[in-house]
Amino acid sequence: MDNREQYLQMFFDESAEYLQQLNENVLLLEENPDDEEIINAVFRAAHSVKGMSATMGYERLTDLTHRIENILAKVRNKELQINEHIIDTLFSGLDYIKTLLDDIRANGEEVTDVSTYLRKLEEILENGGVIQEPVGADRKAKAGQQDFNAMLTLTEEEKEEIYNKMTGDESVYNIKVILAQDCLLKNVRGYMILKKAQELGYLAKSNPDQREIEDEDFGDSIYIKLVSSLKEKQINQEFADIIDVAEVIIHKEDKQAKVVKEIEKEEKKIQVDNNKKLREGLSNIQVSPTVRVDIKKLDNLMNMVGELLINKTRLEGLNIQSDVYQDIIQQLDRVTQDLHHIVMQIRMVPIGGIFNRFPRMVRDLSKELNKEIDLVIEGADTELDRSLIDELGDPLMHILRNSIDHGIETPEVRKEKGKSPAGTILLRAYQKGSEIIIEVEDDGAGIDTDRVVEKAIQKGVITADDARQMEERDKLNLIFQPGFSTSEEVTDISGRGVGMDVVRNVVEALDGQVFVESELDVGTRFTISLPLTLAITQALMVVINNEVYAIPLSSISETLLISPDEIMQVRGQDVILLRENTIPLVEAARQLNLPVEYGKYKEYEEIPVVIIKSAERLVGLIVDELLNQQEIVIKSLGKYLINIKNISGATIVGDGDVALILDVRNIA
Amino acid sequence: MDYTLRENEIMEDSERKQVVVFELADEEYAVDITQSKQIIKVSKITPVPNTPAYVRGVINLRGQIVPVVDLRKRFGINSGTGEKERIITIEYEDMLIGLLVDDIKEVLWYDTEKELESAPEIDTAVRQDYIKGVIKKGKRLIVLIDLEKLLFENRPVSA
Repeated sequence: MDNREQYLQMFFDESAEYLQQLNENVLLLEENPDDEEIINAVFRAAHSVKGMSATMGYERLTDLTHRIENILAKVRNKELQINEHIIDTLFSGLDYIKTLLDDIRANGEEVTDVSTYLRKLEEILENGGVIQEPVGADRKAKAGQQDFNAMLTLTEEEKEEIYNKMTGDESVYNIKVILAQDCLLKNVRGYMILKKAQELGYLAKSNPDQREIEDEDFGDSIYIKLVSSLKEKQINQEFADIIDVAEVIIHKEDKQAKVVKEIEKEEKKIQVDNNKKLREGLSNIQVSPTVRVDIKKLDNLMNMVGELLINKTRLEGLNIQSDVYQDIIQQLDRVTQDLHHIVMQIRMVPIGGIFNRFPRMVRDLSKELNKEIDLVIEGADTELDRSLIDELGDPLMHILRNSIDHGIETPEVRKEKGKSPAGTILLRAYQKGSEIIIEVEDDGAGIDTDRVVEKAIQKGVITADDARQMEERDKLNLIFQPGFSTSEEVTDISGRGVGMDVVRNVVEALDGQVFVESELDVGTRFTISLPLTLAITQALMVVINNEVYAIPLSSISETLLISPDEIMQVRGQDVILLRENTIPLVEAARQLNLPVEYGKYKEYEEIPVVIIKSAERLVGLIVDELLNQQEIVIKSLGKYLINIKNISGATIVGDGDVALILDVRNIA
Repeated sequence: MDYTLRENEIMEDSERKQVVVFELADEEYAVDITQSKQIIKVSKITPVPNTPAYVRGVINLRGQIVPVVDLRKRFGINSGTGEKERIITIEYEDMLIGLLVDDIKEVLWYDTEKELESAPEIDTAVRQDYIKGVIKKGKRLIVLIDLEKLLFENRPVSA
């Protein structure tokens, strides 16, 4: 799937959602025309559709929604009073939006001409929806027009009839013939009027109709809709000449009959299409019904599953010798696992939800900075836990801004370097085992580690001595230090590099990691890795200084029991040799700064070692005892205890006690 | 025993306020009752490494992990742990935090105008910054604690 298609899918999904909202809210508005909340809701939805359409470059949709938005703005400012006409117009506008979306879906571009509809919207904007009190001579005619709409409502058949009778040069006239107050034999006069109308053209409709006139069942006015090729003035004269006619008000319908015919026909076609689509839509809905659920409810559900799991573990701990017991335990195990899996699935949402904010931002920023940047998005359909999605927006935004601001060079500089003038930023997400990987890669200037070190020394983050001992990778990682800046120029886009430390904090708070790789003049890649789900994981339970700790299996390579003579010394560091790999040993108690005597393990006969994967290398973590492996429910330590070194959370073990979860990633 | 403070005890009017009075090294202290949720007996507290000494650890309170702050250590008071040790859980900005104290004394009303004095006049073991005032009940002096300062000034974060 290429990029454009991915954006398109998001665009379709979101606009369909907004369209649904719009339809619902306009309906509500019809019933509660003064409810500001509804007006605002409609306004916001229209605004959103407009924004999305503009981003995607669909001019007709943008124009259409923009004008709808204008009308709503007027309504909101009380410059316009909601009436039936406005509601109708809004609804047909929504239909047009849908038609245009369908066009795009089917043909890749907007096909349907909406210009006539746009004029309709303009009219509302100009005359305020309500027919204003016209001034002077025009007044009567205008007032008449209002009557005409009410008095001469046409049925579909009648409309069709008019079109069929009409030829190119005819117009539709609405005529009100008022009889004199003292008129006798009204039925005769009425009959004469109708007869005259039939002579002048095609009598489409009259109110009262012929029968009512014969029965003299009417007041002193007769309304007539007439299709005629004659001029307004001639018709007026013809009617005025009839005896006892006091006044004739005549109004020619605005558009050429032919145009009217086309518009109306088109509107009908849309309606038919929509009906057809509605039916198709209904059958689609039945295939995959969905429900929207408050994320809090899902959180609760997840907690309940966690509780269930804890109690299942406790039950297992009883270890009763009975077939029935074993059977129940097995069943329970299966059910809780399935349940957990389902809840996890429910919580998963595509990362596209945050990715789709970026194309526009990149476009705007690059324009502002006079850079040319192509943003390429891959894997927007990669799913991850909803709670992660919400947190990831800002860090990703920041990395992107950094790439745009500091990474990609100006076209001139790029040309000098022999690169194409337009830079590329690749935003990619994919799943790797039980982790989600998000990469932001640019083909820009890269990060100059010498300058990074220079700045770090200048800022007092490190000393010159520190710098000499640093590996290239560690130098690069200095950019994650608080208050660090590499850009000579301070811009309002990524500021003084403030935020890369924040990025790391956020990602680590989500139990994830962020790395940076960079090569001068080739580019920079930021990689964020996150656990697929936060809530439940497999862990190894160990004992350190009489307390039980959990180590997530995802970070364990294997466990060993070694004897003290296997320990060797390399440059003062205890190491073991494992399949020809030298693995440094670290003592868990020391890593945790526990108040115990360090190095006592050398006196043990057997030393339990957990080989952990820490920042892409293996480290042997010495613990006091290896316990069982079990599923644990990860719980946060809460907002009071944040960023505790080497502790990522807690879990509740079988006996109801709390066991801390070791964060081994930064153990060196 | 584990009792939750009932809602109707949390009434307040303009001049009278309720506080939970507890003991630390034979001195009486109090926190505003609207901030306190419940009083629980101390069970197993799991110590959390790499935190300041006054963070005693975390407990499991009906499935929720709640940090426990040892008020004696927070105030730098030296006193042994006694039988009557209790944890008062308080809620602050969506956070549930346990305060470990020597003993819970009572819940009482005081008059905010007549019975509350500003802190500097009284000599206590606790740093003035953490004190909102002193409640005078006859001869009794009860130190009213400023929870916000106590908990969030230098909040425990290991770098």
